Amino acid sequence: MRPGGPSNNSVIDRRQTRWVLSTFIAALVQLTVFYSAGHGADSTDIPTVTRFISDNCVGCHGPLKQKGKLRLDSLSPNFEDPAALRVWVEVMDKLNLGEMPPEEKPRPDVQAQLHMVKWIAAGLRTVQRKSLGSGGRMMLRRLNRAEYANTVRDLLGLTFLPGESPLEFLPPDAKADGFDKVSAMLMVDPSLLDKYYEVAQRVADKAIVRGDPPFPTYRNRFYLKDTAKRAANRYLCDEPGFKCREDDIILMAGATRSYDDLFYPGTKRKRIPIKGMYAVRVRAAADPGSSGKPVRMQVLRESGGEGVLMETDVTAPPSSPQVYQVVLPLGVEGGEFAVKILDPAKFTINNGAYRNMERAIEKAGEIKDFAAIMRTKGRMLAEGLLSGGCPNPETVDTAKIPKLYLDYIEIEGPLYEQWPPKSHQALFFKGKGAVQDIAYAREMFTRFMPKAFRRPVSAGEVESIVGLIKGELDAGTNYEEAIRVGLTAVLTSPNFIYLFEPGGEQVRSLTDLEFASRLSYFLWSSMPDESLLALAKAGKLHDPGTVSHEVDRMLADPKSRALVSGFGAQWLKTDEFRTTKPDEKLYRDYNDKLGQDMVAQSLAFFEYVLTKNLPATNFLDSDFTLVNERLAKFYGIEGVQGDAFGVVKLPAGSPRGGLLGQAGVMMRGSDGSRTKPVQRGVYVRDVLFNDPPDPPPPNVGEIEPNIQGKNLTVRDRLKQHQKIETCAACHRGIDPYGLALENFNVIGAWRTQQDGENFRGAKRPAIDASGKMPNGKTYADFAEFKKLLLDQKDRFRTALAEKMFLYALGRPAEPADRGTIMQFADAMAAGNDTFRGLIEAIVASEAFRTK
Amino acid sequence: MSSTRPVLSRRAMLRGAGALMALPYLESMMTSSALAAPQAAAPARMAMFYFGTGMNMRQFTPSDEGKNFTLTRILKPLEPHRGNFTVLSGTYLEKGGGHDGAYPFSTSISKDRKQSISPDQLAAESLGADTRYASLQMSVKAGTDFGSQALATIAWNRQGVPLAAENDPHVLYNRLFKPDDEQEKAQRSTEFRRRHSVLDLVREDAKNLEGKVGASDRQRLDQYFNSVRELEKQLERRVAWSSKAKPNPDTPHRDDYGKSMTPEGAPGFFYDTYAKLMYDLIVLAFQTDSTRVCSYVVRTELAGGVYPEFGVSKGYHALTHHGNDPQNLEELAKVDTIYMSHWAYFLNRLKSIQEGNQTLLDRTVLGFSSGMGIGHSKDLLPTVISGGSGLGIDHQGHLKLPTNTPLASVWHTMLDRVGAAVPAEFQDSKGPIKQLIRA
Repeated sequence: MRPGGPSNNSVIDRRQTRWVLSTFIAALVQLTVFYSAGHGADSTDIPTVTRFISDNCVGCHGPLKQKGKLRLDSLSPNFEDPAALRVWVEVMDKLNLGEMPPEEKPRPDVQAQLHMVKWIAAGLRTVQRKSLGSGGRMMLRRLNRAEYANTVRDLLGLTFLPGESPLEFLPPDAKADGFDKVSAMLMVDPSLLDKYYEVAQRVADKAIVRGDPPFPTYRNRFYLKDTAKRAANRYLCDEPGFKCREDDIILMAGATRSYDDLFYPGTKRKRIPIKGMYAVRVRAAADPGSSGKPVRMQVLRESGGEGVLMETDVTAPPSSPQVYQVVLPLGVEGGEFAVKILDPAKFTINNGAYRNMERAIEKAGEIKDFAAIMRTKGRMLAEGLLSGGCPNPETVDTAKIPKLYLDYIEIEGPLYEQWPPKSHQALFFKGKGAVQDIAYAREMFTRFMPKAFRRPVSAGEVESIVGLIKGELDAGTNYEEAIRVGLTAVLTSPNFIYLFEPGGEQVRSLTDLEFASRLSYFLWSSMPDESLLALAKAGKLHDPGTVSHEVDRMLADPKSRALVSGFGAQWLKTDEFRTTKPDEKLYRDYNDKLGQDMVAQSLAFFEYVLTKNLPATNFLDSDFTLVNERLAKFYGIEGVQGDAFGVVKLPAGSPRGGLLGQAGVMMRGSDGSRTKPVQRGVYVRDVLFNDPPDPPPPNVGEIEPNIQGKNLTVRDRLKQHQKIETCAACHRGIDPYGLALENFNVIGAWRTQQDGENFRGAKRPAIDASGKMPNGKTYADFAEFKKLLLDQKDRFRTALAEKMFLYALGRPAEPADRGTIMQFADAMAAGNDTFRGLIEAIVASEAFRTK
Repeated sequence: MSSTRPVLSRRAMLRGAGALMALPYLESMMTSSALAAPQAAAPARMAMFYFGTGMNMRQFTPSDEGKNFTLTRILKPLEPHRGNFTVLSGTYLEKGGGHDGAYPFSTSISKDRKQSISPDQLAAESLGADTRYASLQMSVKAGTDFGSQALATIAWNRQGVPLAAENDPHVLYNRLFKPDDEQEKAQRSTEFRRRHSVLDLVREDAKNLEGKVGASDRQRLDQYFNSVRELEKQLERRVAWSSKAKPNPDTPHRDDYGKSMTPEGAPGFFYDTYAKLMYDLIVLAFQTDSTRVCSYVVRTELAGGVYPEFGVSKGYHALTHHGNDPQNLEELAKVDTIYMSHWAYFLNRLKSIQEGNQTLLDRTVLGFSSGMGIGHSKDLLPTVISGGSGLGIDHQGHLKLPTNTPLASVWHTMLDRVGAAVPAEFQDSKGPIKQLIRA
């Protein structure tokens, strides 16, 4: 044991300064001994480091005082001790941020501070290189739920109908630091293994077929001119907005129906015989009448069905009708098909007198004045008020009314991409007519298992599956079913469920095949494809140029959506945007669709920055954002149409740039009726700087609600909270990041006056979004705050690098990884701060390329 | 330790007694054994309950002590059950408070540490050998949701892995009571054979992998191994039980169990119906001796907890941040009282079932508490122990324990009473609560 370890210090009498000094010297002796033993950085710098700590730190973090429970004079200089290393990193960070020494203390000499920081960083790198031999290794990890589903999809070429994906059957995965990629959290327990087995059985059932499809594709058409011939539907022809003609019908209001038609032949009045993909087509034309607007048509399946199947403008003129089509999954449950005209002309109008009488009857009923009811009823009869509606004189002449001309409704399905499906051929590669024997099964799995296990497979491994199949056949199971059992076993095997890389205590380089898997699960959350495997087999993945090219190709592939829904969504915490519902009465502009758009915006923004190779610093501030029509209107941005998200350039001075201009983030940091600046501040520190503050101590409670009469703003109440000294210590470092966002209300709308809670009328207090950052810099408003964020690009890069490191390697960055993280951050800075640059740096790193 | 094991194992009783299976446990057993074996008591049962996010302790904790204590507003619904429960003040979760309390709740181990076996699973090791299911995990939320503060389960196996809970009474009912039809019976033997072969095969796979990795990866593979072993044990149990018909309990709610009902789904969800169906399932499972151990997360930590029918203005968690606002405190107490009225319903159901000269409630010891008290505290937990008079529990009405008595001592008391094997050092407990044990 080294002399003068921290535990020895407890014997020191704290009142005696002489002892203090000697303790510190003891610690430095320890430093010297330590460094001469080769455990850290350049020991020739020791005197300078000593002086810096005693001049700037020991006053508050020494034997007399331990502010923040931190004591630096007795800090173990053993950089291999994770606890000590964490403190050294903390020291470095606080110095870097200018948060320590605190502003009221004298500033340290800039050169001395820089020297100190560099000294710690150099020590870190030394330790890191050493530690690669032990800690900081990539651990065995099982697939998470998304990876499992994607892998099954790519391995077998399966597409899942809604409700049938493994995503629906596997339980959600545990997260660490917000990500579901961390090895230590991805455990296996009996119930999960049971689920894996069950899901594998489902997958095998779906993948392998026996014989012909149970229900062949059938095209079923109902000519609407037959409406008049159907006893159950004939009444429609008498409706005011309905005209039955020789070749078609004209729909001016309401909807048609397919009541007695469109049954799949051979079933008992089932329109959809089996869950599957179906094409729904309507041959239609339209006459907009005098409205000038295109006629909008809706195709529906109600009564437990899928609801609206298609909604579209019908622009074809009656002289040349067109077929409008949608292909979508349909289930057995559900009623008839219907076609509806939207915004139809009104054929009846409300009868105000009738309504008034009804209301009078209701009121009389409440007070049980039955005589009054009888009187009113009599009057209604006498005045001929028999229904709430009466014909609209405006629609007597139908010439000007928008009309939908409907020719037929057609349902085709179930649609099969091919039969037998691709997934079947993934195993039964010889096609029809092949001899179904054990030899064939052996061939199948010899071809299939290396793909499933992502590595070469021995004959013995194939033989164990073949043995299983043989056992099934001997028990009388049919051939296809026996192959299914084999496939189930493969998908339940640890070889499939875990991303397995053999390795002992020694660090080794990955093989190209292993590297291909890591790369693919990083960017696609799925197995490598053929071309990546081909490169691996050819031994080309050691070539940086080839890897860079592959990264490009993979990011351009639609499968990289997994990086958006995996990394993007979890980094930005988009799942949490809508957890609290805004108060409906206070925020009438809000609705569910808008909420969904808020989530979609942040994801679209991420995808745009990722795929367009833009600087990630656009998350701090940007001169563009992504919106659709609804969200654009909400933000007051003009000229955007449709539901799809597109990029818009923001006018100078718009607050909508960057992540913090996005409404979803603000809604997350609100509780429905008021903003939560602390929660917003924690979000900013966590997401942008990977520096979440420690959770509050138990029993701190929340900001008091706004009791009527007092009308204090959230900011005022927070200031009261800060008067408590113990609270203030932490809140100084959190609140500035949240109070700057006070101009965004509960739903992320821009406000200049307080709203929500009890604030109403013209006298509402003005929003104060000024503050002082922990490093002493002040801002007057949100715009200035964002400038201060942009000053911290380095901190942002490091944070992003740490988050993506965790995502790519399945473990959080440890203090020993600091050097690696710095490399990533440097690579980002040198490469225009793109995600692509960061990704390339990660996949080129030793951490990523070794086991 | 009390000795409450029946003289004859349940399985032995059942051998060749398929027809009897249709009858509730003791009704059938007592008629045949009442004459011969007066000491043959009904088995001991144990269940643990989690009410997330504390309660309004200002209206929960009674001001006076003893058997004739004054019931507080929240405890009022328990009035008819005086003598069958004890309110325990002074319980404390060292690692609880805040919103991480669901983790240490049953293990005393904090959220960021590796967990260990929970009391219900300890009990299942002693009580679960002779029933169709060793234990039941129930919850208002399905799965484990491990990692989240709103943990869905309080059951942990010996490896410290959370055990998934079920939240759909329909699924639970079918698991416990739905008889297999002919096709299912035919498929079952095929299914058993396949499961057996596949488990064999993947165990070999895991063994091969184990030889190729270092120590830390081997630990991770151990989880897989253990899971295979556990599934094999479950399979064995299933095979053994498959030849015996499931019991067919008498319940007025059979139709309600006929369709799926979960809090997160279904329009028209009514919590009152749901709560009663769930509590009834425990009663039925115990009554038919389908299991003797149960854990139930009645309300998760942090999330959920109130339903439209409660008529309150905020979510339960939002209410617990009451900020001394009288309306929040009032609504909190209102919600807590609703939960206690369901608890009273549950006790009533257990009491209504006779087992010889005792009731099912006498043979069942139940403990509930939370991961926090009021204001997210580690102390002032809403802790109540109910039932178990036939197992030697001596109820004290309101018992004030020394300040910061570990919650584990409550579990310790329960385990002691059901005759489970408790390790010498049980969590941070210093022993069972003596006042609750009949001398």
